[in-house]
Amino acid sequence: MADDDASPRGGDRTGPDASSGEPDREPSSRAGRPADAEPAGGTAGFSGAGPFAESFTGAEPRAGLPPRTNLPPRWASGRRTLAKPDGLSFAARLARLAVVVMLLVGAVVVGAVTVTGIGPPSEDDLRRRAGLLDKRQLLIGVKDDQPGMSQRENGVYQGFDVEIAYLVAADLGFARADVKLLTIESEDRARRQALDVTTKKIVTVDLVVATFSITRAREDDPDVTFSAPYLRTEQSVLTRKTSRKYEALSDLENEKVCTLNTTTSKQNLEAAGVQPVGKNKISECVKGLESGAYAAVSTDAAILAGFVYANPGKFTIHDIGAEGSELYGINVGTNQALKTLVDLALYRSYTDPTDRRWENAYDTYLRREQPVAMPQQVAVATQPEVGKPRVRFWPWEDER
Amino acid sequence: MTSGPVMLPTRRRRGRDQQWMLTALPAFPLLLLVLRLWYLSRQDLQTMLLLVQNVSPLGLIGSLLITLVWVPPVFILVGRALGGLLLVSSIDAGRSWLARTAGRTPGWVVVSAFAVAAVTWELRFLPTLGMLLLVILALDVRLRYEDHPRLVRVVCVAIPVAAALLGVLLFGPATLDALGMGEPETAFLLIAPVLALPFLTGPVPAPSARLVTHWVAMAGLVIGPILVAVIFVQAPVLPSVAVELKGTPTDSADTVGEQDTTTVVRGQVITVDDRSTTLLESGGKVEFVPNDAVISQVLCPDPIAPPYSAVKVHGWQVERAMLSWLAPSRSVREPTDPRCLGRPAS
Repeated sequence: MADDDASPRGGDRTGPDASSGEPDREPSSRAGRPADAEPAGGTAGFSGAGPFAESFTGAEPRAGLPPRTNLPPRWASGRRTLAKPDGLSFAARLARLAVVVMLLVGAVVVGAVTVTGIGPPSEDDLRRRAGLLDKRQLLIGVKDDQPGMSQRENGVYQGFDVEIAYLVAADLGFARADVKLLTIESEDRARRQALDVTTKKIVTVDLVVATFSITRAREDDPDVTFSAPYLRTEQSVLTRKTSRKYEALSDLENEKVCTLNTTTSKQNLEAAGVQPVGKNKISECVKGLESGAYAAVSTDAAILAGFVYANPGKFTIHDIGAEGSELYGINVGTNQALKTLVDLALYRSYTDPTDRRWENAYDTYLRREQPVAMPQQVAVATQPEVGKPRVRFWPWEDER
Repeated sequence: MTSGPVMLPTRRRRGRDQQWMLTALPAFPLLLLVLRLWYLSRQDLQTMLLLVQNVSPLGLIGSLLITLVWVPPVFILVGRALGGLLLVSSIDAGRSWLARTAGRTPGWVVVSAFAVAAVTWELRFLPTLGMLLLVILALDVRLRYEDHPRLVRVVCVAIPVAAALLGVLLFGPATLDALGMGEPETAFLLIAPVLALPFLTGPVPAPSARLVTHWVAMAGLVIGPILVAVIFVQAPVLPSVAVELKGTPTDSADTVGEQDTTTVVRGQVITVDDRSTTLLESGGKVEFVPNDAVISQVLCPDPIAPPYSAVKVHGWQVERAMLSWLAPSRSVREPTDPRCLGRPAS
């Protein structure tokens, strides 16, 4: 439509000529268009206004004044800008300008936000970032000698921790067959070094689900990143069957007490003035207790209750009234994306009422121990609260 | 100012000069398609040649169409509204190509752009769409029927104010939701066009008009194609599959215990013939897999990303377009096939 560029200056174009050059004009305005007579000098002030004028002046037959131009009436009459009854005042123009500028700035900001997709990552993004795609096996370090929590019998791991490990693995996209459980010792939990008994290899596992209490000192370790807690228990004391009552850790002051190395229990015992014997495996402590080498074993109630349940009539568990609880977390090492995914799995299990996997694991392995552990509570029977991880959900996932 | 006959050659010359635009217009999509293949081949020319040989142009164009169908209305409607604003504001608007183009855009183009946008734009952009349409209408009326103050008042004041009130009723609750959920950008998208509408139906101060219209459009014209290209190069053009293969896997460090002999290759199918399947792996490697070695194949659905916003307007999620709302969609919460995650199906 190059010929629209022609200004009707000097009246060089007549009506029919102009009409034929403007096929895109609406027929109604074309029909009502008078001759393109132009008042001399009427357009002299603006050289390029021609196309606009042609396209937009309706120039329909006006009631009162005779059609004399194809320019907007305001311009043709010389009253170009101000003082129109419909609010063409300068203030209105300024207000409009402000709004236009605000909208443009807002559009740029919102456009940038929309295009770059700033926001929490989606589950797929996290799986990619966590390196879970194309991963054949998920390696999880668990204990192998804690009945009820995680015990290896005939090559099969069983217990609450194992169920939690499978729960998380399933949400990470790993079927049970693709999950490989490995035995890990307490001192190796921070470094995630586990022994593969079949190949006698020491490997770094992806997750550690091994009664690993969340503490400030461990969180400060750069190798350790804890997920949200999955079980809440407290420290307790195990002795041979006795009617004597231990009601505080300090009651063990002059006794031979066994506990696990590098655990919160050991620190608590030391703080209470007890000098415990440290072992790497709680089963060794319990063996020593059985044989009379130690007077007591102290660690978390969830671990000790399993031994009471597995050996009926042999041991007594004591409620020492420990203040503060032990919150078990999953160590994901340095993989922050994996931490978010594990949190997401625990969050789903926590929020979804139809997801009974945590509850079933508790009922199967811990609830049955409660009668023999009385009055010590084995563990809190509800899943610890999990904060909403920063993940983009499907909207309907939020509505549960 | 000179008289007509002198201007005539200028006009013709300019018209001739612009013919190349018509030739250049299809070049942009073509450039996009080539860019897409180059991106897919990870800048490897040999891979790209293989892709060019096998990728169907129809598939590429289909992908281009589905991905970018919402784009033309953006250019048409925003350009038209800015041009209209320039026309009513500035007395020498004709100097700007924006005003000239806006002045020449026929009504049916605007209306069809609006129709396309209405079904393809996400809900959160629909307030903007409504605003653009009403602004275009009002500015047009202001230009054409300048001397009908009553009509101007109705179209430029009464209708926008009424539409804004309606918009506040419609989008107000969702805006509050968005603010409550910490999504200021969604709140802005929902309510800003509604509130701004009554202010956009008239001229702005003439000296600033060119800056906020012409130069903004110029910037959009420069940045727009780049954004379009960025969006398109990420659109899938080949089906994404996972193939389970017979064979011994390499003894990777992170596998423990006895190893099974199946491997899984994730990638995109370039072509299948009677001997082998040609796959473009996710890392950019081209693999020719003998058909005998293939145990199973599975189509991996798009990793459909959940929306960024959780806001709904009367039950309509703000990131869904009318088209996707109307068209049947697959249920997205089926568990991911392990093969699509790189593990054999157990």
